[in-house]
Amino acid sequence: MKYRQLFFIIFILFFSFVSLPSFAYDSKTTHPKLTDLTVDYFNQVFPNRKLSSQEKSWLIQGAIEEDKGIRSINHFYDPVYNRTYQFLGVEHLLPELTAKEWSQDPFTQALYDPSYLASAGLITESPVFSQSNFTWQKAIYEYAKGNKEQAFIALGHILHLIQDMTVPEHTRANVHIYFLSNASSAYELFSARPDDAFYQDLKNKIQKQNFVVLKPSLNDYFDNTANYSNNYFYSPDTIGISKYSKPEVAFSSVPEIENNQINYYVLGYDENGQMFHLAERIALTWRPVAGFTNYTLKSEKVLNDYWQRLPEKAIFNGVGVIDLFFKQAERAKLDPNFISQNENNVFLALVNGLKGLISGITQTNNNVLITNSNDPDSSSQTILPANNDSENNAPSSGQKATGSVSSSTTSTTRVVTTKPSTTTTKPSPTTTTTKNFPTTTTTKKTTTTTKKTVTSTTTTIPVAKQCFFEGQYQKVTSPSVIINEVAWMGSLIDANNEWIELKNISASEVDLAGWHLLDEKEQIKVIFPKGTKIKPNGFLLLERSDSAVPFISADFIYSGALSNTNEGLRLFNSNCLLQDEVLADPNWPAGDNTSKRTMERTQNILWQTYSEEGIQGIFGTPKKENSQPPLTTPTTIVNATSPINNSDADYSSNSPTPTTTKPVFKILINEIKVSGKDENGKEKPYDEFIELYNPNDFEVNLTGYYLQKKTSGSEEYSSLVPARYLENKIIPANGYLIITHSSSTNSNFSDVLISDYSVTDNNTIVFKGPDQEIIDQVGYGLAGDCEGSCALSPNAGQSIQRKQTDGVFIDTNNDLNDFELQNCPSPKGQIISCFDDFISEDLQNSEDDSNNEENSNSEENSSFPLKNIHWRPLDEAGSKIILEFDIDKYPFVENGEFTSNIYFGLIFFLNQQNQENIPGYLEEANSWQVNNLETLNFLYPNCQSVNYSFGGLYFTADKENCHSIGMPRGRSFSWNQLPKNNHFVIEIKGTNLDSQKIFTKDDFINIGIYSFVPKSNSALRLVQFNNEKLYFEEDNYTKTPARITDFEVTGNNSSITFNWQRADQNDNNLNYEIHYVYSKPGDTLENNDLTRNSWYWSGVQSLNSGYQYLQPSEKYQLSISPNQLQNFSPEFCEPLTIYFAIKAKNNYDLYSEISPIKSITLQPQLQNFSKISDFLENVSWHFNSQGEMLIEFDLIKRNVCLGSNFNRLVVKAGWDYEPGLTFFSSRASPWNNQQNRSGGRLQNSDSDRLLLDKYPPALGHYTIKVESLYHPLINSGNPIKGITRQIFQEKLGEKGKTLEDIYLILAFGASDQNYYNWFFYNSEEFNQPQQFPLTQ
Amino acid sequence: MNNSEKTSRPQKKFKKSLIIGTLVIIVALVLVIIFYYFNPNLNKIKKFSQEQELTEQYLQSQTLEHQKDQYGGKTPEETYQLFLEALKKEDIDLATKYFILEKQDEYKKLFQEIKNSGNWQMMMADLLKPENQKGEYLNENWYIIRVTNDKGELVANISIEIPKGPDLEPVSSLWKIAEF
Repeated sequence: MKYRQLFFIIFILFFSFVSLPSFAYDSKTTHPKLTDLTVDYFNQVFPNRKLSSQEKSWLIQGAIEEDKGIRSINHFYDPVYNRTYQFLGVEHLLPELTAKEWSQDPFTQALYDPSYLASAGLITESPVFSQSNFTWQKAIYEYAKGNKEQAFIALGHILHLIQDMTVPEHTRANVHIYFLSNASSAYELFSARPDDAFYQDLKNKIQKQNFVVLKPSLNDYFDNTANYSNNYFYSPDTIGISKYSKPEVAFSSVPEIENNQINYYVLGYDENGQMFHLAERIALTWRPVAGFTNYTLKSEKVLNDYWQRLPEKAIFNGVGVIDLFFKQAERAKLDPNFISQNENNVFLALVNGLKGLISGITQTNNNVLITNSNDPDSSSQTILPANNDSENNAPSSGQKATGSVSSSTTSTTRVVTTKPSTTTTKPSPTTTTTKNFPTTTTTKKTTTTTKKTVTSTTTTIPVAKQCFFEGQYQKVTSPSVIINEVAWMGSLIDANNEWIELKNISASEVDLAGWHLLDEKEQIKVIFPKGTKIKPNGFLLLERSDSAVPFISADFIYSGALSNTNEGLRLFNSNCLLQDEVLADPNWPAGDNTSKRTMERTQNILWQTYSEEGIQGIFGTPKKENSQPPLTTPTTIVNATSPINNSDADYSSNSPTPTTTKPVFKILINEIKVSGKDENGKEKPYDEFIELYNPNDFEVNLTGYYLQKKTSGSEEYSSLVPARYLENKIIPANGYLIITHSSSTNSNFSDVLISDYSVTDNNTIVFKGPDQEIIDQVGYGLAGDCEGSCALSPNAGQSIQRKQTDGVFIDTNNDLNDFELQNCPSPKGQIISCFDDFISEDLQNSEDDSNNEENSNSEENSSFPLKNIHWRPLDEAGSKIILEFDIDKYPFVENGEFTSNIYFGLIFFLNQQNQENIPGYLEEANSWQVNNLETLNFLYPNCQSVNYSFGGLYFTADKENCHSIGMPRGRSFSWNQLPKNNHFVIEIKGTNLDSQKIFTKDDFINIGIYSFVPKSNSALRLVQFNNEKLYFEEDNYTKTPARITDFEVTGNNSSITFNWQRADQNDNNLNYEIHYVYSKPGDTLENNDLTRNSWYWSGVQSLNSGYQYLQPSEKYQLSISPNQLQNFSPEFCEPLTIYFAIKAKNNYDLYSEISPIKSITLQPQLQNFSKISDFLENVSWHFNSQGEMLIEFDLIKRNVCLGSNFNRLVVKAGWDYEPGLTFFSSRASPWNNQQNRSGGRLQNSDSDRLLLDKYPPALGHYTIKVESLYHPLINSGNPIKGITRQIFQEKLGEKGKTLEDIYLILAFGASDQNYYNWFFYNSEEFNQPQQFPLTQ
Repeated sequence: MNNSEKTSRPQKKFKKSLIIGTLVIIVALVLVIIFYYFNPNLNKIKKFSQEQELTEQYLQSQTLEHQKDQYGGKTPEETYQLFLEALKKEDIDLATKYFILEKQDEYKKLFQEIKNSGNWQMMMADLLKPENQKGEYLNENWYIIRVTNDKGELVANISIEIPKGPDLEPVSSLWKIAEF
């Protein structure tokens, strides 16, 4: 063992100085940067406990060093299966700790220190003395000892681990972890950028947040981050595998066109329900369908989307971890035994006695786990070390602390509920997507890792306020949260499978911190911890065990049983006001023990037995609406939580942060008027008011409340109505309170006059409570902060008012949805003035315009950019409906002060009588379309090249933006197809409500122009409206051009001439198309049509120009070469007949009927070849640089009409050194006439020919190598192979001749397969063949 | 008291001391034995050491194998061209040698599958298109070639990287294909 230990020590020593690559963020760039941002954000949200730059540097140091050595193999945690990886694919390698365990396992971490390891066998030294222990416990220990540097370095190690949990490769088990970083995370590669600019976006984004994740334990942070990256993202080897049911795929194959390429993406939903790119698909054109992945994450778009989401989770959770650290570390400092317990070892134990010895010998991690792993809310409890004597925990006086406290502690505190908006857009639902992706099950996996049940029967933890079941209570009249359903009988599977469901029936979120749910005997005692919230109409499910409802995870698990009789449940708020109860006296009011049907609330908040179908033995609706869901009620916020920037927060103090006991009630900002107008239309800026409304049925004292505002360009809120103005102001039940400016002319109805401040355009107004909590918030116009989308911006004299439904003011947390423009502001419900100039007065007289045909073609006003607007049938048959208009220039919408023409749209409202309904904004989430009004649909070429119609016309002013970037921007009009003459003709395809709609002359449209608002909501804003009604011109169709009857064609092989009469004497905008087809044997014409089949065009020649108008014949004439006809080849062997006809075409692509068909016949012209120069050009006979003899020439003509017998093209080459050589015409073997002897031959085979190619040969350049040279008198008549210049000279020299005496002659022809039958083209010149010298 | 009586007293003292001393030693030994055999941490250390040794051996062998690997180009373009040349010859073994070691088997199967299915020429036609010969650097150690077909569809996303060893330094200067 010693040897192994020694080996290991050396091993550890080696790897102590090197780092194994981990598949996570890069240690040199990403981890330090994320830690840096985490600290900055921590300082932003906790300004009273800022970290210094020195502390930041220690944290960063720790974050970097966590990857040192082989520590990184412990950086993995799969929260679904609660395990780490089979590292390196080999078993029994290294301790298999999850990152979560590793962060809190001092002993294992200590073993990585060689010196500790060496001594560990001999002396059980406390792990705190190990140099490789950077656990959570070590961080707290060092802090308690006052060693800040060591504490923060260790904390930096923890931050590193949390950051790693936001890398999907760390939380989704890849099949293999490779030795090298080669199969590394694409995401890691992408994020490892040293440049600050890359992180600036993230920094800017984070700085705008006001959001903290607060968890009670470090384990919860690991679970939170690991679950996030596991549930919403892929890692390379886990795309689409069934092992993980998540992420949820929205669309498995969405095409996006970028740079003329079509890329297909898998889209998923993030935690905010926004779609983003999960992976990129690779087309399966030649890949196997199964067995191999055809997805990639190494795509810039995918990695960008991952980067937009994952790192901020690391930062938010990192901030929470630092906060938790301070809480626990401060408490540890106060414990006098803390340090000694952590330093305990055998020697000390020996000194302290046997008890210490035994505990020292059996020292385990638990004994160095000083603090509780769960950290209850410090505001109301004293934290005790583990195993401490409960006698020391005397409760505070007057409070009873008995029984067991059982609660789940896995909740999240979202201190500020503002959600950041993202710009990811959803593809239109009409995009063709095929869900051939592996289906994911939606059945929830129950794991044993995600929920913790904390039961402690011995620990007594004093709480600020305890509620008791016993007692006489007055229930509140309008509870916000009720006991909604109770399975007191269990389920068919097990009678112990009891569960309780709560529901928020109010319209606002309710914070349940400190609320109690008790049964009569208080066996069940649930005290909801800080951070427990229920959204409006939301549910909270409490189960007696996690398997009570097998297919739904519980929000809380409680202990204790519900009796079937003589029982009860009571729900108290944190002030122990009874909210709701249900009593079994002796029996429960509903539910059935035999059938195990639950007891559920009805619409009237009475009880009934569930009567519908069951699922897996559950006959009820856990976490779903009941059969008759209870009606919602206006809410009262009770016990708002402390804000995160509470100046009272103090980590160094022993005193717990006090909770507020003053109730805070819901008050709505109900109406806002920004400015008024006088009778001349002149603006009165201080003629403003803000109306508050109290929806409660009791009056509210507004002491301590106040209003703030933020302008669109500002990051900070400033005072609007300070608290002093609202001191002792009472707002009556269901009543109003009006705040006006002291300079307002309407101050007579005012309850509060302000003079120092004023509302302006594009503001965000917040109404806050005494503890600075936001009660209500409204943003309008181009405000920077809005609930959902911003409300419309009121003009001078207008207001925005909250809408009502059934007499109740709505509050859906979407300002655009909740507020509407009022031309007649009405503070306290009383109209004070009315201005209608936002909508033209012409609309008030719309009844008189019903027969305004003469108006339909006129321009509404000169500033409206669309002119000559018509919408009508295209042709008499109405085959299409079109819209046409002219513009002066493109783009025809300019940039506005707050809008940009980078995108703009036209919406054509159909028959919209009430112009007030015209939306002021088109939201990107709705694809910039209108849902609730009928608008025309259009089909036009767009930047995505996807062929479907839209409920508007969209354009971009920037050519570079015309690419597919998702909807709706990708539906901008295709840049390349914008009409150059600025005349648009666009097909109408019904409306958004009826794609087949038939229009009549009674239908009219109004046009709204919307322009892009460059803010995060990316809406289009109404910038111009044409309120003139434009009626459908059902009789104004375009006539098709007249048929051309006078059409003639003449021509020959050189030229073809067309003559035709113009189709319409008055139409100068016609174009003509000449259609033609090459005849085939058997073609005839009947009824001006080919009998072969219907008119089958070989080609179409569009003639927009090039033809001339001949006077006085008044005919058009055009002459072309036959070579201009498509698919025409001059090498035809038989007479060629070509049929021609002509059509006229107008600007609307309407064609005339076909003219009379005419034809011409061309004759083949391939027989008049007689000389070598008719076929060959640039003949050259020479030696190349390698000394090879070559013959080169260009073949410029060939005869393709010889028939298939002749399938060899041959050149015969003769030479001689004496003049007079000619060819025999029959066989074309050369001989010397003068001497009556044969001449020489050049050949590249064993025969006497230079072969070229098979028949017919390709035209072009040829280079033929001469393989052997023959002459009857040279070399004794033996062919010379490999002839060189020198050899040639020598041989000629023997004859007394030189290279200048020799010449070449050529015969060009074709032969059959066996060279029996020949045909020579230049046989006529055989008597005097052209001679070619050997060139140097 | 006689002389014999005088001399037996020190002897008795010595004997007593011996017995006590022996007892102390025995007790100490027992304690040590208890410590060694019942201390759970020691078992942990034993197991830990064994696993470390196995890991060390594995890491060493892997390092050596990667250092010996000579297949690859000095630039990603070169690696890609070598890879293409091998594919042109339909030499799958050679082609996959340009992949990182861990992925060679996987891609051998892939290419074999493509060959068996008769799609080899189609793949080659796409890979050899002129516009598919160039990629781009996403960072200094990462080169991507996006191969598209005539329809503009992505048919291969080829990632070529510098392989790094345990010390985060390149094991060689050769680029290897990590993903196809």
